[in-house]
Amino acid sequence: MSVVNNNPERRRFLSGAFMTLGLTLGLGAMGTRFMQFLMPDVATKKSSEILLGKTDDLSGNGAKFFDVAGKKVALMQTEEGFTAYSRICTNLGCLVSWDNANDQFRCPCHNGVFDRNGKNISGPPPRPLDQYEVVKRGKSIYIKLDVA
Amino acid sequence: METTETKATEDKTFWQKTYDMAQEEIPDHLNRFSYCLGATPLILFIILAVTGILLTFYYIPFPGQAYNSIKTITEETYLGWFIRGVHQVTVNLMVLALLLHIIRVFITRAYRDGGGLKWFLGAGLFFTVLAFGFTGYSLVYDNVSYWGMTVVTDMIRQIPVVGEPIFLLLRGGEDVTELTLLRLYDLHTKLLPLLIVLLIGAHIIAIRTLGFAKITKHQGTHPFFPGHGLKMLAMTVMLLIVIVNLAAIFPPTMGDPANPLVVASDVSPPWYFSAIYRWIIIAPREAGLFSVFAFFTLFTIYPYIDRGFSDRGANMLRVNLAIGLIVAIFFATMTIWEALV
Amino acid sequence: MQEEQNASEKSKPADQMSDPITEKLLSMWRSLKTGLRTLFADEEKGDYNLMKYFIGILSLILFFALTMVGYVSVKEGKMEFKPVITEPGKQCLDCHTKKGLTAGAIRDWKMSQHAAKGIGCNECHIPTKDAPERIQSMTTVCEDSKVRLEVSSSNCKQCHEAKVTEFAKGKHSKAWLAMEAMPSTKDQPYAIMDGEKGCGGCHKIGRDEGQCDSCHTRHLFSAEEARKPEACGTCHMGFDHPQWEMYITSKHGMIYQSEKHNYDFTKKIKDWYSKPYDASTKTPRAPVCVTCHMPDGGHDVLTAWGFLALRLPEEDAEWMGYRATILQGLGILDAEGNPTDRLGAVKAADMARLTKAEWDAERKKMVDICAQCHGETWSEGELEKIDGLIKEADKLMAEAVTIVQALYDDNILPRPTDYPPSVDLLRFYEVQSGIEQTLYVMFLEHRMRTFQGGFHSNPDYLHWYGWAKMKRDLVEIREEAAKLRADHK
Repeated sequence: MSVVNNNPERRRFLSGAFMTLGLTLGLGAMGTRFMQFLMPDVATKKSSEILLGKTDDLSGNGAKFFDVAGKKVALMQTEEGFTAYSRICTNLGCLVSWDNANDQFRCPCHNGVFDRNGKNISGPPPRPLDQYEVVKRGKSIYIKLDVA
Repeated sequence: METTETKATEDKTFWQKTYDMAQEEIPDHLNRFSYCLGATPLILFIILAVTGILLTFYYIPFPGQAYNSIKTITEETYLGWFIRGVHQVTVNLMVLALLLHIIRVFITRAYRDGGGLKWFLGAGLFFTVLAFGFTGYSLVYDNVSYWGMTVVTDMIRQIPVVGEPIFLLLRGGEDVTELTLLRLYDLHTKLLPLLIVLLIGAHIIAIRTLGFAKITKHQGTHPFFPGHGLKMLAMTVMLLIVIVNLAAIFPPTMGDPANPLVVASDVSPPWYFSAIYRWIIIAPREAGLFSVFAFFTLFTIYPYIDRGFSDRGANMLRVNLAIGLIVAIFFATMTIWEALV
Repeated sequence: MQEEQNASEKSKPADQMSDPITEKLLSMWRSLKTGLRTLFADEEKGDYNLMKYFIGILSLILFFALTMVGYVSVKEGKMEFKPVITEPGKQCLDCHTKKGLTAGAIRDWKMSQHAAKGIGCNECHIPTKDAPERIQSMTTVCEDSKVRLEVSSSNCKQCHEAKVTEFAKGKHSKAWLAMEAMPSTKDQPYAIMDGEKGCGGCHKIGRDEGQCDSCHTRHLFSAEEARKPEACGTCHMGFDHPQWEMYITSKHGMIYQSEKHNYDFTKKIKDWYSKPYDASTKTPRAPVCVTCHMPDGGHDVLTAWGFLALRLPEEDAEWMGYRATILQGLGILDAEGNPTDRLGAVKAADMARLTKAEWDAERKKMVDICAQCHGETWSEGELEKIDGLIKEADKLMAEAVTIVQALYDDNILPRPTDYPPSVDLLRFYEVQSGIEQTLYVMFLEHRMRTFQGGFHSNPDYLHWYGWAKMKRDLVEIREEAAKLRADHK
């Protein structure tokens, strides 16, 4: 009996396609698991209020630096209250320092300058310093941070 | 696959030339699974290398932190248990496959007819894999790791002439310190991988160059691509299924952390070292160590011994079968003895 | 050299017995081997289609296995404490850790909410400017001379202003004052009062404007801990106020004991019954101390009747008569029925409700609380029953006080040298005669249990440890009085 629909190329294509699909899924899943293993867990962070101090101790003209839960923060007192800036320069991530004489933040890496309101006034930084939310309870100043 | 035989060599593309180089006529006896126990360790080695590299992204090779970093991987990192589990399961399968491969090669005398180089490289590979097993387990820095490190380096010291320098090299000093852990880590992740890749390459090239020993029953051949290649692909996937399932059914655990002040009475090495461990315990000290070294030396140069005897007319097939059986039974007995104690 | 094939391959016996089952098995084995060989061996024209499908199927199986792997969960919910250590706190911790000091406090602190928010040692152990003098004048062995071992609520107030203010309105904050106001406090050894080992051990809750660690203990300061009856149990137990014993063996307490592992004490008290018709095993099915005494988490603990089951004014004239006698026995009213200095102390310590409006407000608060579970009218009725019982108990008490006072008036009891010759129930056990001891126990132990047992739903305490013992005391007092009078003649 002759075989109708005998098409070796089709059969070869189908088997090859099925194998490729299977391999993609199987080995792809394997590779995905490997990548998931490598990716560090950044999802579980909850925001928490951390105490910085009392208003009496924190008032003053210049910026006060804090290292809170690993975050480098600069606290400034303004007419409205307190503002907390991140010390991470918005150019490429160095830490800014406070220049009391000129009333500004300076970044030593590429000479970026921010004024006392965090606004980038000179040098490469593309945008003002990031801010953290400040919460005042009674006489205590808290800063809102993501703590792992 | 397009046949490339019809084209003239200058017209062929790079890939076609590579394909031609890799293509080979494989004897048909390699269709039997028992003859594919050489490809198995290769596949398993690749899995070990990949999972091992992944583990180095989280492992910290210093005594205070090594155990905890592995604990973190096992208990906290997402899929950490899985990667470590795959690594562990694969090590066990690797040693098992190697032992089966050695037995098969030995019983079929595949090193004959000038194939002795394959055997020497294979012996080197075997010892390298055992070194991998030892150094790898030491990195966990649990009680077994610590005392294993101490005892094995001490054993190595007993080797005449070369023992003392190797001992100092491994320990990084007289005592087991953080330098020891660091050196074993470097061996496991840098030196030994380099060595084994070279040996694997040489072993495969030797097989390609020297060919396979002839077996009368299966006379035909088949091409490497696609036949044997697909077979290896099927084996890869089958092995992965087995490994993934075993890793899920028997996930990795943590032993007690290393306590340099107390020798825990229940430390014993991984199963593939159990036989030697038990033998050394029951044999008188010098005799035990010497016999182990002697065995491994004879093992390495066996093709010469075989040729010596077969030239004098001995039926080495029968001899090998007998020796293989004796060694296998001895190994199994010692291993089971150690497991029961 | 040609070699023979693998000698391990078994050769078939030349004369195989023909047996249908063996034949079947052998043919199955042969077809299996053929099938496997077909799968793995050469195919015609090098197509290897079967092999490729095989690989594809295996890969899909692998894919599913790996999908399941992703759902294997590791050890869940590892309790991670992440204390935030600030600059000043770091100084304290480094030195204390190096010197091996205060490990317990540091362990507890690390698990606390304070630590999670960066509130360290200095915020509490360096007293604020308005901290009590007693603390400011203490000496310290710390290298930082500003540090004090003891902490007052003035430091807590910096962040917890509302709660400290509330607390100040309640009775707990007056506890130390009340203790010092007792006439015999000064006569007891240092350890008992000021040394905080006896009366002082519990009444210290009111010292230094409030010691907040009495209920949410240091240095964990857990609100969850404070909501449980165990937090109250150290002080509210025993001789004159066995609330713990009465509660824990009452029906309410037994339900608590058998179900407490289900109750969610991390929830704020005002949220427990916020959805009154939602059933959950996590919601307490019976009241605990804070349910009735700190509804909405209020720290101003007050009750209608107060500690001594006294109130003013009293509409019931007969009852007022009994109460007046008792107040005279307490030295709050003098022999003519006029208020003494002690009434001022009662007012200052907020020890009793002195207006009808206050009493009614507290009573209504309590009825509303009972009505979270029970019917309102029913609850009112139950509480009124106890009110009635207090009157009966006061009748017995008044008679007893009258008897003993008469002994004083008739000069039968020995004249004390350092206090006025009349009944003074507040002297507690610092009285000379046996009959006065019986009177004091009748008041401070048995009368207390009569009404406290009622309000804490413990019939046994109310009756056998309360009412029955009051009756017994009265019999003894009458008998002893008669004997003394007879001897005196």
